[in-house]
Amino acid sequence: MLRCFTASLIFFAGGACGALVFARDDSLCRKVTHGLALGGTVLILIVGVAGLQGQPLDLLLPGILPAGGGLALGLDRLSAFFLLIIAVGAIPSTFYAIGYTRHYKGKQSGLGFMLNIFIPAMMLVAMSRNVLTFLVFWEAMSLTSYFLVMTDSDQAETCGAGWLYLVMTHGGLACLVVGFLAMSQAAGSFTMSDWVHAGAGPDARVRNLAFVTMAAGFLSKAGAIPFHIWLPRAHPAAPSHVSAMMSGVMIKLGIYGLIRIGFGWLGQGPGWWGVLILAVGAVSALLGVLYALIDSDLKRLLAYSSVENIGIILLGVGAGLLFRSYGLGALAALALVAALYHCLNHAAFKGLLFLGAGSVLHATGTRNMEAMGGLLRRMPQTGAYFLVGSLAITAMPPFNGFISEWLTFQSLLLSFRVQAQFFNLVFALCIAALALTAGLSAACFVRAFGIAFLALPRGEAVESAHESHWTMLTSMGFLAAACLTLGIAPALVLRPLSSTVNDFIGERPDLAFNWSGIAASNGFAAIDPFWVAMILSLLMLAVWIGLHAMRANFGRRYYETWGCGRAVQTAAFEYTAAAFANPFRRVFAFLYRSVEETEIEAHPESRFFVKTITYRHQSRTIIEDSVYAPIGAVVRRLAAKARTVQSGNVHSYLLYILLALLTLLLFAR
Amino acid sequence: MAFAELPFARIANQLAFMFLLMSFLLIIRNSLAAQVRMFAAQSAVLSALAAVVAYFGGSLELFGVAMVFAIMKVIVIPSVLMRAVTKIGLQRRVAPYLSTSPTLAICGGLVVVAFYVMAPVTASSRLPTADGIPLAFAGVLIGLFTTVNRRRALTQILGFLMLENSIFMIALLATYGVPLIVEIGVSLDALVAVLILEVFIYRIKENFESIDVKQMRSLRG
Repeated sequence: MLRCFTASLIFFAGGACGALVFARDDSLCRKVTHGLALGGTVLILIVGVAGLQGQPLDLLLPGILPAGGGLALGLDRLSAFFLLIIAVGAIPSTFYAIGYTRHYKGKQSGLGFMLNIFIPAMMLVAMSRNVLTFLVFWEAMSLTSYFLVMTDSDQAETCGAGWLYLVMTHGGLACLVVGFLAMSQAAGSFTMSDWVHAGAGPDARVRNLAFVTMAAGFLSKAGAIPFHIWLPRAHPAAPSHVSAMMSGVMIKLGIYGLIRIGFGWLGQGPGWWGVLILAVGAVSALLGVLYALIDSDLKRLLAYSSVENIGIILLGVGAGLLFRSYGLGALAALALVAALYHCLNHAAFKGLLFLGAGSVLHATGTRNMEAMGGLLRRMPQTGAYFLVGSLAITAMPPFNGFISEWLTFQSLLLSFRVQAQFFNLVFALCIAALALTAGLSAACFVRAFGIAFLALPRGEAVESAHESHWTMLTSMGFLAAACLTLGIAPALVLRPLSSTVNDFIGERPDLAFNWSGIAASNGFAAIDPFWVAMILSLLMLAVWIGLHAMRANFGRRYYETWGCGRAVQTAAFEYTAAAFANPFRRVFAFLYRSVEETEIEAHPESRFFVKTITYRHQSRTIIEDSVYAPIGAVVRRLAAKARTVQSGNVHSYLLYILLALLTLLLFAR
Repeated sequence: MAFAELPFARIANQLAFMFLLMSFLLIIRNSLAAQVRMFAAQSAVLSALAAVVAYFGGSLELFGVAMVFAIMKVIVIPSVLMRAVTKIGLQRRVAPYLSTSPTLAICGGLVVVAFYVMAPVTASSRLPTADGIPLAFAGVLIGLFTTVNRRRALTQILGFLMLENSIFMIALLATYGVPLIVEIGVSLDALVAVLILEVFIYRIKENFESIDVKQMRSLRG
């Protein structure tokens, strides 16, 4: 166990060194760094699986980080589960990178180096047991991911994205530091698990303050609204395997932190903690999917969809918090299981979708869906995997998204057992939000898949598109298989997960399951994913057999279709991404506040002979306009004031030093 | 104070006063070459002080420190600076912001501040050399002020070196000096700093036709 863990760190260290040693040789560097990173992540998987089986690991190295009580690492089941998530996201991503980064000329060294620090930093965040250790690895994770986002730093868009990410992540870190220090101070210990065990623990005011600040910090990493603004910029800017890891794995560590503080480190909290998280979750889920629905940048769409999925996870976490504060331990455990399961699922299908989007980007050179179309014929395997990912993320059986969303629904529906009308109302609203989210997300991915992969090519970029490198296809195949497995055999995950939750909050989830089926709360609701999958496949088989029996013609037929009287069919007649989203744009106009412009250029002789029609629209995002714009304005004004101090004159800087020295000396005397 | 009557304390205090006097003389001279010579003289006084402390303190190592210090600060660094002065040639005037009399007034004020601030340190020290500590600290403040007041990069270097000398002197008076190896390191550091700054001055002069630091203002964003 310890040997595996050490070996994994050695692999990553080797990868990071390799990146520096082979900096001159792009091809060798690419293979060595990503190969070693792959080895390291496989070992993370082994450690995670061993940890889930209950093997503990405790490591205290007082010599490193002497200030805060040494480097303290540990592995309980919850940490092990997040190690599993890291591995599920990182194994295919690193393997994918071997093929995908072929065209990053001259950037291999930096990319490989940062990747080999980023992945172990995520692992060590999940294993940190005291404040300083946690903050050090958290910051290492944030900084390396920043550098990974900045891979294409020669583009202005990337620089803006990186800058925004850096600001948001450090804002979050500042919140975390406040919370951590407040609790350490009040509890008198830098070890998080001692915070509430020791005697009575800090009083409620300190714990509430710590909860609010730390939740803000963790939610900004998770990308929940209103802290989501970095996601839709950073994910498109980063290389796709990095987006897959950031979106699939890194933002989950925000959820990890939230679960830790909500159920462990800060002790049991009042009901409003849960309501707060539920509200953030519901808003994130709804707004996330609504913004995803109208975006025509494929990777930005996926980034908004991550906001949505984080919202769904937060609904589970918030419900768990609320149940716990009402003493309904088994239901809390059920909600937590749903949230954790969705974390794992999201790592699988969002990883798959980002890798798919990366393949499309690699093949066509564009992220704009309006320029795609007809890719299914040119990239059949990528298209099939992207379809699997889309089905999984829209919670279609027999894929994995269905199971976790079903569990989330059940835990929300069981809220009638809470004896408080206000909270019942909150739950009812959350159920409505989740239902609406599920429907809208289906529309969103019908659009994403349909516009990008079906119909005729809309741009020249698609004409030359080609199927991806085998490493990329294999990685996507792995994730697609994971989506299917997690959807058909949920017991694989539910068994360790219920022990995890039992270890963590001391209650078994109100859930019964066997190899084929799940039943929530004593038969309140039940489902048999395995049989659903069987019936679905049998139905497809039946259709095939039926067609054969009817002697249907399976060959490809070429006919003239009815073309509405048009002489030719071109891509210009096709449904566009903007057109598909337009009904939603109208229904939710109050939200998008879009500005539309239509220009029609007619023939000079008659206005019925139209030469061109141009339609432009610009949607705004409420949160950025109403929250971040005023903050930005204030900061800019203050910065302009502070700039007068910066005279640019060496002598005045020296004078500042002298005056500061004299003032300090006179005061200190 | 009982120590004040000992010959050791008397000599040490005399030398410390001479050190401060040299600082003031350096400020009022307005040719670069004269300033560099004054700096060399100040360093000579300081190495004499080190030798005195070594003699009365009975420390052989401190003699070595005095030797190293004398070689570096009295011979090597001044000659490097002289070379720079002759190379720059044209701008021999030092051009401070404030003219001599307000500068002297401010430096006098800094000496008062130094005595006020260092009074507790002097009172708590049991060494016979403790009375010189405020003087050395005044040297620190004056050195820093010189870097603020002078426009030319070269005179700023002199301010920096004065500051460095004064810090050495505080160490000498408060704890009977630093170990030889540390002093060698610090001296070489200062030499390297001076060499680098010298190169920078040439670059600045080549590029801007002047070593007036004020012109760097155009770099501001």
